[in-house]
Amino acid sequence: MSEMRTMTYAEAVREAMAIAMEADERVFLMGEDVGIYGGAFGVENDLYERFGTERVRDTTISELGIVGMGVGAALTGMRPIVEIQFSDFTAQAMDQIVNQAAKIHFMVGGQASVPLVIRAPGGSGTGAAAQHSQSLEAWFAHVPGLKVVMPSNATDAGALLLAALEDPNPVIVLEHKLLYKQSFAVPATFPKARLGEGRIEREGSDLTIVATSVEVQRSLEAAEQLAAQGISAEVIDPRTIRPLDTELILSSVEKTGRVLLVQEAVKFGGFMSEVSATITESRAFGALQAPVRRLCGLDTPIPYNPKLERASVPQVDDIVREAAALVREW
Amino acid sequence: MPRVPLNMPKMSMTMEFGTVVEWLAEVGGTVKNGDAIVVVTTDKVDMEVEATFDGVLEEIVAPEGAQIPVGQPMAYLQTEAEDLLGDLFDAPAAPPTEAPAVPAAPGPEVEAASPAGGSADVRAVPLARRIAAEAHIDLRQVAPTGPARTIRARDVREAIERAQQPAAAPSVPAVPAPVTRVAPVATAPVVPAGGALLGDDRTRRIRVATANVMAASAAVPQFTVFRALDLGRLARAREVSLKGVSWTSILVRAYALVLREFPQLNGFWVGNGVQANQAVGVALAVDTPRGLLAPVLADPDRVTLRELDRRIREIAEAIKRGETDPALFSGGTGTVSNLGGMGIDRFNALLTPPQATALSLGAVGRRPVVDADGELAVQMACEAGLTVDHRVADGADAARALDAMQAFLADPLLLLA
Amino acid sequence: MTVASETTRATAVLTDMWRIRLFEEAVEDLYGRGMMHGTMHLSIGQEAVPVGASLCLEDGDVITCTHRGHGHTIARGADLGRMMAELLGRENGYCKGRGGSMHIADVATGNLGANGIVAGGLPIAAGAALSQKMRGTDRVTLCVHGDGAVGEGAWHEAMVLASMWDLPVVFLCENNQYGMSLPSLAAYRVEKLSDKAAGYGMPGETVDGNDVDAVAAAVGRAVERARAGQGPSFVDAVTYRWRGHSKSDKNLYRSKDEIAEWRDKDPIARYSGQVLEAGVLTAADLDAIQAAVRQEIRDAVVFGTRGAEPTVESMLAGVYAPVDEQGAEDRA
Repeated sequence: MSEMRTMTYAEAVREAMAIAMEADERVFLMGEDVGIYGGAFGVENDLYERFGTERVRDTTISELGIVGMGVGAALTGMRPIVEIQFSDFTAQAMDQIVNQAAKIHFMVGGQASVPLVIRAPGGSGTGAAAQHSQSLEAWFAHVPGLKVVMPSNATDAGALLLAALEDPNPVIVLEHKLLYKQSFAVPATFPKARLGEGRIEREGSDLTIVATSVEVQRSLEAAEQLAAQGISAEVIDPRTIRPLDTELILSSVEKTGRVLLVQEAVKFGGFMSEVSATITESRAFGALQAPVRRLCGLDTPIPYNPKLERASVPQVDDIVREAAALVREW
Repeated sequence: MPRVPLNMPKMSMTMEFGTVVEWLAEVGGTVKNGDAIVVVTTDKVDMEVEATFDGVLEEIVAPEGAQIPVGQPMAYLQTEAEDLLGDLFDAPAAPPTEAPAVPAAPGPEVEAASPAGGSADVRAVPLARRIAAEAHIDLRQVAPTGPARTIRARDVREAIERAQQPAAAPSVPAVPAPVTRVAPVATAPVVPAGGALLGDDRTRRIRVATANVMAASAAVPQFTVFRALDLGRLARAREVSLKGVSWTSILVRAYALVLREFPQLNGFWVGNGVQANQAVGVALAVDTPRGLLAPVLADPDRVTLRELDRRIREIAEAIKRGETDPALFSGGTGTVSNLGGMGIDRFNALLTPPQATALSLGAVGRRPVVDADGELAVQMACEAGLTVDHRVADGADAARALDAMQAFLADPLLLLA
Repeated sequence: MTVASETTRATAVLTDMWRIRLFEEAVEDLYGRGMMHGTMHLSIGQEAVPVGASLCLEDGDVITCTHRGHGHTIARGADLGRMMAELLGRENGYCKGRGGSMHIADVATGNLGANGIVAGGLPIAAGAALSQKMRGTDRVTLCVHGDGAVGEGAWHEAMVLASMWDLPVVFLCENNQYGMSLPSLAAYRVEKLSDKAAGYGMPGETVDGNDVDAVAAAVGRAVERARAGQGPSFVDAVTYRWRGHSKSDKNLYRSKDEIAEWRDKDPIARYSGQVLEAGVLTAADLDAIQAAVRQEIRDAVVFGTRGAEPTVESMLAGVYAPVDEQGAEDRA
């Protein structure tokens, strides 16, 4: 085991970008306020000093334009990273993401591919309210041709970004704004990650909790509390939303027989609904001792009031309560 | 000059036919490249078709109002302009080459789950079903403790533990009863323990079997329609050509004819529909010293009435003697119970699941009736009750069935056929 | 230019213009017979724009074009047979039958593709130009779009970003004066579309889009600027499409007189007349060119109709580009 260091999630993202830009002159970054400002969440910091304004480009407020430019640059030999300041603003760029980036490789019969990485922070908890707090991974997971990752900790934030930059397909990296300032233990070098590989964050036997992004952290905390109640929870982070590490999840379900699926995003039409269907359609169905349960954001835009904001997405106590109920009732 | 067809063009993604609305050029008239020649309508939209070369309209083959498929000629033009592609498609086209088969990328192998064990009418979590199947535990014997009275995995495990302890095995009913959801009894009446059980072993077994069948029957939604069947004509026939033939035989046959004519009533409810039965099997309830038995007469409408009558007597005798070949009791698609001989006017027989009907017969005898002229008359009749599984059929169906039965009984020829 | 090179140029120009004209007519014919699926956006009458523009481009230059992109694809040197095969949905088409008319592309000749989204190619072209500049090549990107695209936000954003970074892109507006049915000039409140260019800090020119030489001259000036590192330009080439927007167009929004008036300005007839009068080519030459192209088109149709039908398996395998695991290992 290599020696560990402590760094924040934001620092890990920055370091991964620096590593990539150092190693490959085709990699460059475009985004709003990523230069001298240092990034809206401080992710870029002094990156522009190290790599210059050619490689770290401040753009106008033109999400559609810059994502499209990312597509064009990716088609012609570059490996661009396009930062969208809040994942909510991907709405401005949807044509270039969904109709262009995702489909060009297919539509041109393989003549070219679009190795584009789009990074954007999502999630709630900062009081930014409805238009700046969404979790939109389901939008992108639904589009064939896109890959989607949601790193839940600093090591993955770095490792998954590096893996995304190696992928010839367009990859959407959804970071979480609450995680940027959190510190994590990170190995000296980012481990080699593969898109489509999840990880068991904590082993257990009474139920399987599958969670994404910040909910992974909350689920791990919940698992500690559950252990004190005599309930052993296994916590899985899929890490990549699409393609999904189905095998990892099914094996766990076969072991425990109970599943709780936790996401910050709204329940209806969400990613965890896909995971639930995947489980019940599979060989793991016969191992189920309980209905597959989803614990998700409420069916509402994220509100401004802090108590309402908190209540709108699953918190640690919600996870503890739902998991305990699942084990007791079934 | 070459003669070139003007074909009905495809003018939208889904168009298959077009109708000629109006010819804008005349036969013999000159048309130039770009001139509109004809107006065509498709999907309620009128479109002009233009000439794509200079020429003379030689012949119109689709008059106004004609409906022409896409690609077929509406007219012919004479033109010196070369038809770019026309003759390319006159010769039979070379067959398209086979595309090299690209092996499909192996996807994750997830087999469809097959729910293990037990019947569909019992609620149990998938793991419970699997455990029960492996341990040969009947889920119907497991007490559910989960939400919505669902059997949990632990419930099956406990049932396995209990089964391993020595205990009296429950008796197996002679007539296999299908699983029905027995309504949970909120508070069962408490029978004080200690009294002796009546009857000998055999009688008790038949009693338990009947009890099980009838308990299952209680879960089936059923209703009975009654009708006084007019047996007048048959009564006269019995004095002449049908001498010696029992009323039971006649009524069994009439019932069989009805079941044959109404396949729905001859079927079984299987949860999502009525499963048809090819054969008609009329079970005849026979009162024996030991209890009620119901041997089955196979396709009683396909033998002569006399033959049927003979068979019925034979079976009744054999049963009374105590001979009970199990094969005799299977294949029933309906049951006839006759209590007429014991002075009963009418009753509603209960269904024997999975049968969808049961016919109850009261006494055959003379009764007063008001005839068409409003006069009192005497009629030979029998009060019949047709009990029907309401999942399989409705009141009107039952009424029609009894109507048909009456029609058969009114025409001895039909009955004897 | 020498006489010989004039002859060569004229022959090349007419060959390409006839290729486009007859290809489109063949497509129209095949569609009318029910042999082609979907819908077609034909560029009959607009041939001078792609041919004139292509005269200014070199190997390694990149183009993006619109849903009405057959002409530009042909002018950049695409194989007619593979184009037909694509429009017929066959496995041997440019896009293996997966893209069809609106998404046809020939990446080997720098054609990043037709685009089914109006203005979809604008930001992509700017990105390609950025790539060319960052990699230190002196290649340029030709962004072909229509007058309709000027209404889209993507047009605006691409113009802003391209001028901000002095990108080597030529925005060529193939202005056939109608979005789909809306007359453009009336919508945009300017006398000519090139008036808008100044608003983005770049030069703009409006030219007669049916005059091959005028188009070549204007695009040529813009390409030179771009290659010299002086940034983007806007060229508004005014032309006209003879057929409706697509196959479902009833042409209710324009008069027959207008259509007839523009047919009289047929760019092919016009150029043919010019070279005949100048004695660069003879009438026999003109006939020979047309006959040769006719045969090319017929051969292309036969090639296309012989193509195999693609399979579901090959389609599914084409959704994602394969990940080069070993290459990634090597680079790690």
